[in-house]
Amino acid sequence: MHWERLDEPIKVRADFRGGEIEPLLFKRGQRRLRVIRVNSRWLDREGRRSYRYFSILADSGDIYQLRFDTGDLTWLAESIMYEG
Amino acid sequence: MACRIDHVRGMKTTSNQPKPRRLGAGVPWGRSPAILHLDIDAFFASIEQQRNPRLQGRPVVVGTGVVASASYEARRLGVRAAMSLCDARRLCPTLVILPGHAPTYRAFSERIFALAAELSPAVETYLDDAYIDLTGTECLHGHLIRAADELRRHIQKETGLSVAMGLGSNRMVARMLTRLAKPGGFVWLRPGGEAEFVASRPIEELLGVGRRRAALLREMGIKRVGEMSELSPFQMRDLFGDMGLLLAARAKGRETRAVHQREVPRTIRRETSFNEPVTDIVELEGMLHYLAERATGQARKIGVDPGRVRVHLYWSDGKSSARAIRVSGYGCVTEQIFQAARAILIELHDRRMGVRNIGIEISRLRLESSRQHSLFDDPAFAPREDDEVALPLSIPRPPAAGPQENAVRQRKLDHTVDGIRDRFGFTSLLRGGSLELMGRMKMDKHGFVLRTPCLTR
Repeated sequence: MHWERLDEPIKVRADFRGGEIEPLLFKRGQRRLRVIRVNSRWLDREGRRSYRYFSILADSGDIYQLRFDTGDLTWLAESIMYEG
Repeated sequence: MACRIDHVRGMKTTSNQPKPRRLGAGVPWGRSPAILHLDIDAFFASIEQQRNPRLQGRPVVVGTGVVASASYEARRLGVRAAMSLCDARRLCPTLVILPGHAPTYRAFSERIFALAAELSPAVETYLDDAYIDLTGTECLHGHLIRAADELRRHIQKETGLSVAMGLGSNRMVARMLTRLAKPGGFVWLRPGGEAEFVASRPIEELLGVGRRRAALLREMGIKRVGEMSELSPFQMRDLFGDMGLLLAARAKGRETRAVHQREVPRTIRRETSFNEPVTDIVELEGMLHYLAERATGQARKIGVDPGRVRVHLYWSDGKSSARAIRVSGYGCVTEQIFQAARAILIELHDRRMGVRNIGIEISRLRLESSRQHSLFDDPAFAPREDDEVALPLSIPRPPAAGPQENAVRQRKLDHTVDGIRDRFGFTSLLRGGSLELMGRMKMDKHGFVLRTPCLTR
């Protein structure tokens, strides 16, 4: 089981409510993937810039790690978890 | 006074242990010292299980070469931290091994310690545990035991991680109680019962005993701390030197060390191993430069000056070489520390053999505020002949800077570099010495990814 790096810019539909970000749906290539569950979330920093990370389960059954850059408000599919 | 240990959830109970009282019941803690110790259960492995729910319930370890963290499922099968991965896999063929990622773990621990700091400003933090001084905070938070348990539940809710906590009248007792609370529980002992509680514990659990001292004591037929406390402090000193006196006091439940908001470690060590043994001295120097930068950056961050530098090499034939030298002078200057480390490396690198692991350790750390300024110039900073730059005759040569002036410049440079990295990230600036590593090693926004990613700092 390992995380494979993707580093793909993606478009995400998310809910910003009460200071929390909830990713709901994202588009990877031509595929639209629905977020079934947020497994874990954390905040990381690079200098003064902060990134919000989400480990999510998509409806394809895959687990992705998404990153939201709070500086330029962009999303990245950072990695995907593979079995084996 | 009879010792009564109370607990909530997570503690294994035996029939002869007292039943827990209702949380927050009983008299307030009062003005007695109250130290809370907090420990994150199976830290790295728990985060990995949370990031990937398919790992939940499965034996998971994080590490490269050796186990850095093992999940409770792996521990039940005999897997322990610091065990080699080969041994761990032999014990558990279905073991899931992950290399880990230190910045993610750091993000989680920072969040947890920030929540702890909401209870008290005096928090002393380590990698996966912390001491919180709650003395005198009862009037602010209400009942201390209830406040501490709320913190535990709040951490679980916010981060999804389980923490074990111990509350006692000193840090040693608090830490011993945390051990009983694992995993995920909270154990407290009211002031007055420390000696009796400590006396009932196995000698290995006493802070500072360690494996070798425990083996010696067991040879003498001493199994419990209470039996050890029957030895006089002089006998303890004869056995273990000055440490014996400290152990004699601890065996009676006494510990006077305060919780320091600023942690002054004994050493700061940065090391890495290579995938393939390295023979190229330039690459070794590049790596040493990078490690020296990370170590000195950390020293400046916590505000300490090093008094000693040590470099070690592990060769591919299993042998090792190490040497240390004293450094003195003008604070924690990266270039000064690197030049000292480089001199050691050149001296140690005398074999036609690849290097598997290289590391730098700075020690004899003292707070910057206690720095003794030198009256005399340090020859370490004297300009060398090869530093001289040939200038055209028409341009007047500036007067050569003295060692003290050089040091001041280097300190300013370090300060500026630290400031830029604080703002834009570590990789926004790389020193020339570390450029050797570019292309040879992977980089992420936190720096080069070393071979043990779960411990990369």
